[in-house]
Amino acid sequence: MRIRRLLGFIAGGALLAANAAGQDAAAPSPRKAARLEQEYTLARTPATYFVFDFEAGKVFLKARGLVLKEWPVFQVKTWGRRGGVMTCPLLKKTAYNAPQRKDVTPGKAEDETDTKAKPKNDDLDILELVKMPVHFTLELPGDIRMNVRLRKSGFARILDGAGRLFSRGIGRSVKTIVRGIGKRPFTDIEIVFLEENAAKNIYWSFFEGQKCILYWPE
Amino acid sequence: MSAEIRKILLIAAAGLVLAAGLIVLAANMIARSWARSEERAEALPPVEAKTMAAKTRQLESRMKSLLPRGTYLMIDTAENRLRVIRDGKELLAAIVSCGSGDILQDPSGERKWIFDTPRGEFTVSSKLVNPTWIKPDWAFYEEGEDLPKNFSERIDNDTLGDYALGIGSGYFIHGTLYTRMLGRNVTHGCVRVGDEDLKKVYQTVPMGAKVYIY
Repeated sequence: MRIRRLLGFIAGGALLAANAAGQDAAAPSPRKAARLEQEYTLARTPATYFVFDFEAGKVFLKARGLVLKEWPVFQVKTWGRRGGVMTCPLLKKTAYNAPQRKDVTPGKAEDETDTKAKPKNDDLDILELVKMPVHFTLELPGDIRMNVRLRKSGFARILDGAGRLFSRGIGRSVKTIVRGIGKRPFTDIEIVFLEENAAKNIYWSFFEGQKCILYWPE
Repeated sequence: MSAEIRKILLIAAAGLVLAAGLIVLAANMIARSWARSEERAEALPPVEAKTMAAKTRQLESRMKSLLPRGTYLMIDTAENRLRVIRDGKELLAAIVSCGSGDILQDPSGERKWIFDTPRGEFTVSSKLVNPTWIKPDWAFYEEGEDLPKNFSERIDNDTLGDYALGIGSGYFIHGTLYTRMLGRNVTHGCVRVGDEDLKKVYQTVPMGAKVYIY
Protein backbone atom coordinates (compact mmCIF):
# COMPACT_ATOMS: atom_id res chain seq x y z
CA MET A 1 0.00 0.00 0.00
CA ARG A 2 2.73 2.38 1.00
CA ILE A 3 4.69 1.47 -2.11
CA ARG A 4 1.65 2.07 -4.30
CA ARG A 5 1.11 5.47 -2.67
CA LEU A 6 4.74 6.32 -3.15
CA LEU A 7 4.63 5.27 -6.79
CA GLY A 8 1.48 7.31 -7.21
CA PHE A 9 3.18 10.43 -5.82
CA ILE A 10 6.21 9.90 -8.04
CA ALA A 11 4.03 9.42 -11.14
CA GLY A 12 1.94 12.48 -10.27
CA GLY A 13 5.05 14.58 -9.70
CA ALA A 14 6.54 13.43 -12.99
CA LEU A 15 3.33 14.34 -14.82
CA LEU A 16 3.24 17.81 -13.30
CA ALA A 17 6.90 18.39 -14.13
CA ALA A 18 6.38 17.22 -17.70
CA ASN A 19 3.35 19.46 -18.08
CA ALA A 20 5.26 22.48 -16.79
CA ALA A 21 8.24 21.73 -19.03
CA GLY A 22 5.90 21.24 -21.98
CA GLN A 23 4.28 24.59 -21.31
CA ASP A 24 7.68 26.34 -21.14
CA ALA A 25 8.78 24.72 -24.39
CA ALA A 26 5.50 25.71 -26.06
CA ALA A 27 5.54 29.25 -24.69
CA PRO A 28 5.72 31.30 -27.87
CA SER A 29 7.93 34.29 -28.38
CA PRO A 30 5.74 37.35 -29.07
CA ARG A 31 8.23 38.35 -31.73
CA LYS A 32 8.00 35.02 -33.55
CA ALA A 33 4.23 35.14 -33.35
CA ALA A 34 4.25 38.67 -34.79
CA ARG A 35 6.48 37.53 -37.64
CA LEU A 36 4.15 34.67 -38.44
CA GLU A 37 1.15 36.94 -38.39
CA GLN A 38 2.79 39.49 -40.63
CA GLU A 39 4.01 36.85 -43.04
CA TYR A 40 0.54 35.31 -43.20
CA THR A 41 -0.85 38.70 -44.21
CA LEU A 42 1.61 38.84 -47.12
CA ALA A 43 1.29 35.18 -48.06
CA ARG A 44 -2.48 35.51 -48.50
CA THR A 45 -1.90 37.59 -51.64
CA PRO A 46 -0.46 36.24 -54.92
CA ALA A 47 2.45 38.67 -54.81
CA THR A 48 6.03 37.65 -54.06
CA TYR A 49 7.66 39.13 -50.96
CA PHE A 50 11.04 39.23 -49.26
CA VAL A 51 11.95 38.16 -45.74
CA PHE A 52 15.15 39.61 -44.34
CA ASP A 53 15.76 37.24 -41.45
CA PHE A 54 18.66 38.82 -39.60
CA GLU A 55 18.40 36.19 -36.86
CA ALA A 56 18.93 33.27 -39.21
CA GLY A 57 21.34 35.30 -41.35
CA LYS A 58 19.37 34.71 -44.55
CA VAL A 59 17.31 36.57 -47.11
CA PHE A 60 14.31 34.75 -48.57
CA LEU A 61 12.18 35.44 -51.63
CA LYS A 62 8.79 33.84 -51.06
CA ALA A 63 5.28 33.51 -52.37
CA ARG A 64 2.40 31.94 -50.43
CA GLY A 65 4.92 30.90 -47.80
CA LEU A 66 6.89 28.90 -50.37
CA VAL A 67 10.61 29.67 -50.48
CA LEU A 68 11.41 30.56 -54.09
CA LYS A 69 15.01 31.55 -53.44
CA GLU A 70 17.25 32.11 -50.44
CA TRP A 71 20.64 33.66 -49.96
CA PRO A 72 22.95 33.40 -46.92
CA VAL A 73 24.15 36.68 -45.50
CA PHE A 74 27.77 36.98 -44.45
CA GLN A 75 27.24 39.88 -42.06
CA VAL A 76 24.50 42.23 -40.89
CA LYS A 77 25.10 45.43 -38.99
CA THR A 78 22.27 47.63 -37.78
CA TRP A 79 22.76 51.19 -36.66
CA GLY A 80 20.01 53.07 -34.92
CA ARG A 81 16.39 52.16 -34.43
CA ARG A 82 15.30 48.60 -35.00
CA GLY A 83 11.76 47.32 -34.85
CA GLY A 84 11.75 43.63 -33.91
CA VAL A 85 9.51 42.60 -36.76
CA MET A 86 8.25 44.97 -39.39
CA THR A 87 6.59 44.77 -42.78
CA CYS A 88 7.09 47.51 -45.31
CA PRO A 89 7.32 48.14 -49.05
CA LEU A 90 10.48 48.98 -50.94
CA LEU A 91 10.29 52.69 -51.74
CA LYS A 92 13.36 53.04 -53.88
CA LYS A 93 16.52 51.21 -54.89
CA THR A 94 19.56 53.14 -55.97
CA ALA A 95 22.94 52.15 -57.28
CA TYR A 96 25.84 53.88 -58.88
CA ASN A 97 25.54 53.34 -62.62
CA ALA A 98 22.36 51.27 -62.29
CA PRO A 99 21.30 49.48 -65.50
CA GLN A 100 18.44 51.18 -67.33
CA ARG A 101 15.62 49.88 -69.45
CA LYS A 102 16.12 50.28 -73.16
CA ASP A 103 13.72 52.26 -75.32
CA VAL A 104 12.93 50.22 -78.40
CA THR A 105 13.44 52.13 -81.61
CA PRO A 106 10.67 51.08 -84.01
CA GLY A 107 12.04 49.22 -86.99
CA LYS A 108 15.31 48.46 -85.25
CA ALA A 109 14.32 45.59 -82.96
CA GLU A 110 16.94 42.91 -82.20
CA ASP A 111 17.04 40.56 -85.18
CA GLU A 112 16.10 37.27 -83.63
CA THR A 113 15.56 35.67 -87.01
CA ASP A 114 19.29 35.83 -87.69
CA THR A 115 20.21 32.15 -87.66
CA LYS A 116 23.92 32.76 -88.03
CA ALA A 117 25.70 31.25 -85.05
CA LYS A 118 26.85 33.86 -82.58
CA PRO A 119 28.85 33.42 -79.40
CA LYS A 120 26.49 32.62 -76.54
CA ASN A 121 27.58 35.60 -74.51
CA ASP A 122 27.57 38.22 -77.25
CA ASP A 123 26.69 41.53 -75.76
CA LEU A 124 23.02 42.14 -76.42
CA ASP A 125 21.72 45.45 -75.13
CA ILE A 126 19.27 43.89 -72.70
CA LEU A 127 18.64 43.89 -68.96
CA GLU A 128 20.17 40.76 -67.53
CA LEU A 129 21.21 39.44 -64.16
CA VAL A 130 24.89 39.68 -65.03
CA LYS A 131 24.55 43.45 -65.48
CA MET A 132 22.95 44.06 -62.09
CA PRO A 133 24.98 45.99 -59.49
CA VAL A 134 26.47 44.34 -56.40
CA HIS A 135 26.49 47.50 -54.27
CA PHE A 136 23.21 49.31 -53.88
CA THR A 137 20.87 50.93 -51.39
CA LEU A 138 17.31 49.99 -50.59
CA GLU A 139 15.15 52.71 -49.07
CA LEU A 140 12.24 51.70 -46.90
CA PRO A 141 9.67 53.77 -44.99
CA GLY A 142 10.51 55.12 -41.56
CA ASP A 143 13.90 56.34 -42.70
CA ILE A 144 15.34 52.86 -43.04
CA ARG A 145 18.17 52.34 -45.49
CA MET A 146 19.64 48.97 -46.33
CA ASN A 147 23.05 49.10 -47.88
CA VAL A 148 23.92 45.92 -49.72
CA ARG A 149 27.51 45.20 -50.53
CA LEU A 150 29.98 42.43 -51.23
CA ARG A 151 32.75 41.43 -48.90
CA LYS A 152 35.95 42.55 -50.47
CA SER A 153 39.29 40.83 -50.04
CA GLY A 154 42.92 41.79 -50.06
CA PHE A 155 44.03 45.37 -50.65
CA ALA A 156 40.54 46.35 -51.85
CA ARG A 157 39.26 45.44 -48.41
CA ILE A 158 41.76 47.73 -46.71
CA LEU A 159 40.86 50.63 -49.02
CA ASP A 160 37.16 49.96 -48.56
CA GLY A 161 37.58 49.84 -44.80
CA ALA A 162 39.40 53.15 -44.77
CA GLY A 163 36.72 54.77 -46.89
CA ARG A 164 33.97 53.43 -44.72
CA LEU A 165 35.75 54.51 -41.55
CA PHE A 166 35.28 58.06 -42.71
CA SER A 167 31.76 57.80 -44.15
CA ARG A 168 30.35 55.49 -41.50
CA GLY A 169 32.52 56.66 -38.62
CA ILE A 170 32.40 60.43 -38.93
CA GLY A 171 29.67 61.10 -41.49
CA ARG A 172 27.08 58.87 -39.92
CA SER A 173 28.03 59.96 -36.40
CA VAL A 174 27.44 63.61 -37.24
CA LYS A 175 24.12 62.68 -38.86
CA THR A 176 23.15 60.72 -35.73
CA ILE A 177 23.90 63.64 -33.42
CA VAL A 178 21.96 66.08 -35.61
CA ARG A 179 19.00 63.66 -35.84
CA GLY A 180 19.23 62.97 -32.12
CA ILE A 181 18.87 66.68 -31.37
CA GLY A 182 15.95 66.87 -33.80
CA LYS A 183 14.42 63.66 -32.35
CA ARG A 184 14.27 62.03 -35.79
CA PRO A 185 15.78 58.57 -35.44
CA PHE A 186 16.81 56.58 -38.47
CA THR A 187 18.04 53.07 -39.25
CA ASP A 188 21.03 52.06 -41.33
CA ILE A 189 21.36 48.38 -42.09
CA GLU A 190 24.43 47.03 -43.77
CA ILE A 191 24.06 43.62 -45.40
CA VAL A 192 27.21 41.95 -46.65
CA PHE A 193 27.16 39.00 -49.04
CA LEU A 194 30.02 36.74 -49.97
CA GLU A 195 28.67 35.92 -53.42
CA GLU A 196 28.07 38.34 -56.26
CA ASN A 197 25.11 36.29 -57.45
CA ALA A 198 23.24 36.87 -54.20
CA ALA A 199 23.49 40.66 -54.38
CA LYS A 200 22.62 40.73 -58.10
CA ASN A 201 19.65 38.46 -57.61
CA ILE A 202 18.26 40.68 -54.87
CA TYR A 203 18.64 43.79 -57.02
CA TRP A 204 16.89 42.00 -59.87
CA SER A 205 14.06 40.52 -57.82
CA PHE A 206 13.28 43.30 -55.35
CA PHE A 207 11.17 45.86 -57.16
CA GLU A 208 9.74 49.12 -55.92
CA GLY A 209 6.45 48.64 -54.14
CA GLN A 210 7.16 45.02 -53.27
CA LYS A 211 6.67 44.16 -49.61
CA CYS A 212 9.29 42.77 -47.28
CA ILE A 213 9.54 41.64 -43.66
CA LEU A 214 12.50 42.71 -41.55
CA TYR A 215 13.15 40.38 -38.62
CA TRP A 216 15.75 41.22 -36.04
CA PRO A 217 17.02 38.79 -33.39
CA GLU A 218 15.90 39.26 -29.82
CA MET B 1 59.53 73.36 -40.30
CA SER B 2 60.27 74.95 -36.93
CA ALA B 3 59.71 73.07 -33.70
CA GLU B 4 56.99 75.56 -32.74
CA ILE B 5 54.94 74.87 -35.86
CA ARG B 6 55.42 71.13 -35.47
CA LYS B 7 54.15 71.39 -31.92
CA ILE B 8 51.06 73.34 -33.00
CA LEU B 9 50.29 70.85 -35.75
CA LEU B 10 50.62 67.93 -33.35
CA ILE B 11 48.28 69.56 -30.85
CA ALA B 12 45.79 70.34 -33.64
CA ALA B 13 45.94 66.75 -34.90
CA ALA B 14 45.45 65.40 -31.38
CA GLY B 15 42.53 67.77 -30.93
CA LEU B 16 40.94 66.59 -34.15
CA VAL B 17 41.32 62.94 -33.19
CA LEU B 18 39.85 63.66 -29.77
CA ALA B 19 36.93 65.57 -31.29
CA ALA B 20 36.29 62.77 -33.76
CA GLY B 21 36.38 60.25 -30.95
CA LEU B 22 33.88 62.25 -28.90
CA ILE B 23 31.56 62.62 -31.90
CA VAL B 24 31.65 58.89 -32.56
CA LEU B 25 31.10 58.10 -28.88
CA ALA B 26 28.14 60.47 -28.62
CA ALA B 27 26.63 59.09 -31.82
CA ASN B 28 27.03 55.54 -30.54
CA MET B 29 25.21 56.39 -27.35
CA ILE B 30 22.34 57.99 -29.27
CA ALA B 31 22.10 55.07 -31.70
CA ARG B 32 22.05 52.56 -28.86
CA SER B 33 19.31 54.48 -27.07
CA TRP B 34 17.21 54.31 -30.26
CA ALA B 35 17.84 50.57 -30.52
CA ARG B 36 17.03 49.93 -26.85
CA SER B 37 13.76 51.86 -27.02
CA GLU B 38 12.37 49.25 -29.45
CA GLU B 39 13.74 46.14 -27.83
CA ARG B 40 11.80 45.80 -24.62
CA ALA B 41 10.69 42.14 -24.66
CA GLU B 42 8.47 41.33 -21.73
CA ALA B 43 7.45 37.93 -20.51
CA LEU B 44 3.78 37.19 -21.09
CA PRO B 45 1.51 36.22 -18.20
CA PRO B 46 0.54 32.50 -18.32
CA VAL B 47 -3.00 33.03 -19.68
CA GLU B 48 -1.79 35.22 -22.53
CA ALA B 49 1.04 32.79 -23.25
CA LYS B 50 -1.50 29.99 -23.71
CA THR B 51 -3.63 32.10 -26.03
CA MET B 52 -0.59 33.10 -28.02
CA ALA B 53 0.51 29.47 -28.36
CA ALA B 54 -2.91 28.56 -29.74
CA LYS B 55 -2.87 31.52 -32.11
CA THR B 56 0.63 30.62 -33.30
CA ARG B 57 -0.44 27.04 -34.01
CA GLN B 58 -3.43 28.33 -35.94
CA LEU B 59 -1.26 30.66 -38.00
CA GLU B 60 1.23 27.90 -38.75
CA SER B 61 -1.61 25.71 -39.94
CA ARG B 62 -2.99 28.49 -42.14
CA MET B 63 0.45 29.15 -43.62
CA LYS B 64 0.75 25.48 -44.48
CA SER B 65 -2.60 25.56 -46.23
CA LEU B 66 -1.35 28.27 -48.59
CA LEU B 67 1.51 26.15 -49.94
CA PRO B 68 0.99 24.71 -53.42
CA ARG B 69 -0.06 21.09 -53.76
CA GLY B 70 0.48 18.63 -56.58
CA THR B 71 2.21 19.93 -59.70
CA TYR B 72 3.37 23.51 -60.02
CA LEU B 73 5.82 25.59 -62.00
CA MET B 74 8.60 27.86 -60.80
CA ILE B 75 10.02 30.34 -63.32
CA ASP B 76 13.16 32.26 -62.39
CA THR B 77 13.37 35.35 -64.62
CA ALA B 78 16.85 36.23 -63.34
CA GLU B 79 18.41 32.91 -64.31
CA ASN B 80 15.92 32.14 -67.11
CA ARG B 81 15.07 28.74 -65.65
CA LEU B 82 11.80 26.89 -65.45
CA ARG B 83 11.18 24.00 -63.07
CA VAL B 84 8.25 21.65 -62.81
CA ILE B 85 7.70 20.45 -59.25
CA ARG B 86 5.37 17.68 -58.12
CA ASP B 87 4.92 16.78 -54.46
CA GLY B 88 8.14 18.53 -53.60
CA LYS B 89 10.24 16.78 -56.25
CA GLU B 90 11.65 18.40 -59.35
CA LEU B 91 10.36 16.67 -62.48
CA LEU B 92 11.91 18.95 -65.06
CA ALA B 93 14.37 21.84 -65.28
CA ALA B 94 14.49 23.85 -68.50
CA ILE B 95 16.33 26.86 -69.87
CA VAL B 96 13.87 29.50 -71.03
CA SER B 97 13.69 33.12 -72.14
CA CYS B 98 11.88 35.75 -70.13
CA GLY B 99 10.99 39.41 -70.63
CA SER B 100 13.57 41.93 -71.78
CA GLY B 101 12.26 44.87 -69.73
CA ASP B 102 12.43 47.07 -72.85
CA ILE B 103 10.03 49.96 -73.34
CA LEU B 104 8.13 50.66 -76.56
CA GLN B 105 5.96 53.68 -77.26
CA ASP B 106 3.48 53.91 -80.09
CA PRO B 107 4.10 56.63 -82.72
CA SER B 108 1.53 58.97 -81.17
CA GLY B 109 3.23 58.62 -77.80
CA GLU B 110 -0.09 57.80 -76.14
CA ARG B 111 0.54 54.14 -75.38
CA LYS B 112 3.54 52.52 -73.80
CA TRP B 113 4.46 48.87 -73.40
CA ILE B 114 7.00 47.55 -70.90
CA PHE B 115 8.14 44.06 -71.85
CA ASP B 116 8.42 42.51 -68.40
CA THR B 117 7.44 38.98 -67.47
CA PRO B 118 4.96 39.55 -64.64
CA ARG B 119 5.88 38.26 -61.18
CA GLY B 120 3.84 36.52 -58.56
CA GLU B 121 1.52 33.54 -58.41
CA PHE B 122 -0.50 32.67 -61.50
CA THR B 123 -2.66 29.77 -62.63
CA VAL B 124 -2.56 27.76 -65.84
CA SER B 125 -5.85 28.91 -67.33
CA SER B 126 -5.54 27.43 -70.83
CA LYS B 127 -3.60 24.76 -72.69
CA LEU B 128 -3.35 25.00 -76.46
CA VAL B 129 -1.99 22.76 -79.19
CA ASN B 130 -0.56 24.45 -82.31
CA PRO B 131 -1.44 27.85 -80.92
CA THR B 132 -2.10 30.79 -83.18
CA TRP B 133 -0.63 34.14 -82.30
CA ILE B 134 -2.92 37.09 -82.89
CA LYS B 135 -0.31 39.80 -83.21
CA PRO B 136 -1.05 42.77 -80.96
CA ASP B 137 -0.42 46.38 -81.97
CA TRP B 138 3.06 46.53 -80.42
CA ALA B 139 4.27 43.76 -82.74
CA PHE B 140 3.68 46.10 -85.69
CA TYR B 141 4.96 49.27 -84.04
CA GLU B 142 8.15 47.47 -83.04
CA GLU B 143 8.84 46.71 -86.70
CA GLY B 144 8.06 50.27 -87.71
CA GLU B 145 4.93 49.11 -89.55
CA ASP B 146 1.43 50.55 -89.68
CA LEU B 147 -1.39 48.64 -88.03
CA PRO B 148 -3.00 46.19 -90.52
CA LYS B 149 -6.43 46.97 -91.91
CA ASN B 150 -7.39 43.29 -92.15
CA PHE B 151 -7.56 41.08 -89.11
CA SER B 152 -6.09 38.20 -91.13
CA GLU B 153 -2.79 40.08 -91.26
CA ARG B 154 -2.48 39.64 -87.50
CA ILE B 155 -2.64 35.85 -87.64
CA ASP B 156 0.66 34.03 -87.14
CA ASN B 157 0.65 30.23 -86.89
CA ASP B 158 4.38 29.67 -86.56
CA THR B 159 5.87 31.82 -83.85
CA LEU B 160 4.39 30.24 -80.72
CA GLY B 161 5.56 26.69 -81.43
CA ASP B 162 3.65 23.45 -80.81
CA TYR B 163 2.06 24.17 -77.45
CA ALA B 164 1.12 27.08 -75.22
CA LEU B 165 0.00 27.38 -71.61
CA GLY B 166 -1.87 30.56 -70.76
CA ILE B 167 -1.43 32.21 -67.37
CA GLY B 168 -3.80 35.12 -67.89
CA SER B 169 -3.67 38.73 -69.14
CA GLY B 170 -2.28 37.65 -72.51
CA TYR B 171 0.85 35.99 -71.09
CA PHE B 172 1.80 32.49 -72.25
CA ILE B 173 4.43 29.86 -71.80
CA HIS B 174 5.05 28.87 -75.39
CA GLY B 175 7.56 27.64 -77.94
CA THR B 176 10.07 29.62 -79.92
CA LEU B 177 11.79 29.76 -83.29
CA TYR B 178 14.76 31.54 -81.72
CA THR B 179 16.29 28.73 -79.71
CA ARG B 180 19.74 30.32 -79.66
CA MET B 181 18.26 33.03 -77.45
CA LEU B 182 17.16 30.62 -74.74
CA GLY B 183 18.78 31.63 -71.46
CA ARG B 184 18.61 35.34 -72.32
CA ASN B 185 16.05 37.99 -71.40
CA VAL B 186 14.74 38.79 -74.86
CA THR B 187 10.98 38.26 -74.93
CA HIS B 188 8.08 40.68 -74.81
CA GLY B 189 6.90 39.24 -71.52
CA CYS B 190 5.95 35.68 -72.34
CA VAL B 191 8.13 32.74 -71.34
CA ARG B 192 9.67 30.92 -74.29
CA VAL B 193 10.65 27.27 -73.95
CA GLY B 194 12.53 24.93 -76.29
CA ASP B 195 10.47 22.33 -78.18
CA GLU B 196 11.39 19.20 -76.22
CA ASP B 197 11.00 20.84 -72.82
CA LEU B 198 7.76 22.52 -73.85
CA LYS B 199 6.24 19.18 -74.80
CA LYS B 200 7.13 17.75 -71.38
CA VAL B 201 5.72 20.83 -69.65
CA TYR B 202 2.50 20.56 -71.64
CA GLN B 203 2.14 16.86 -70.82
CA THR B 204 3.02 17.21 -67.14
CA VAL B 205 1.36 20.41 -65.97
CA PRO B 206 -2.42 20.28 -65.64
CA MET B 207 -4.98 23.04 -65.99
CA GLY B 208 -5.29 24.99 -62.76
CA ALA B 209 -1.68 24.34 -61.75
CA LYS B 210 0.04 27.18 -59.96
CA VAL B 211 2.86 29.08 -61.64
CA TYR B 212 5.31 31.08 -59.52
CA ILE B 213 7.28 33.68 -61.46
CA TYR B 214 10.00 35.65 -59.71
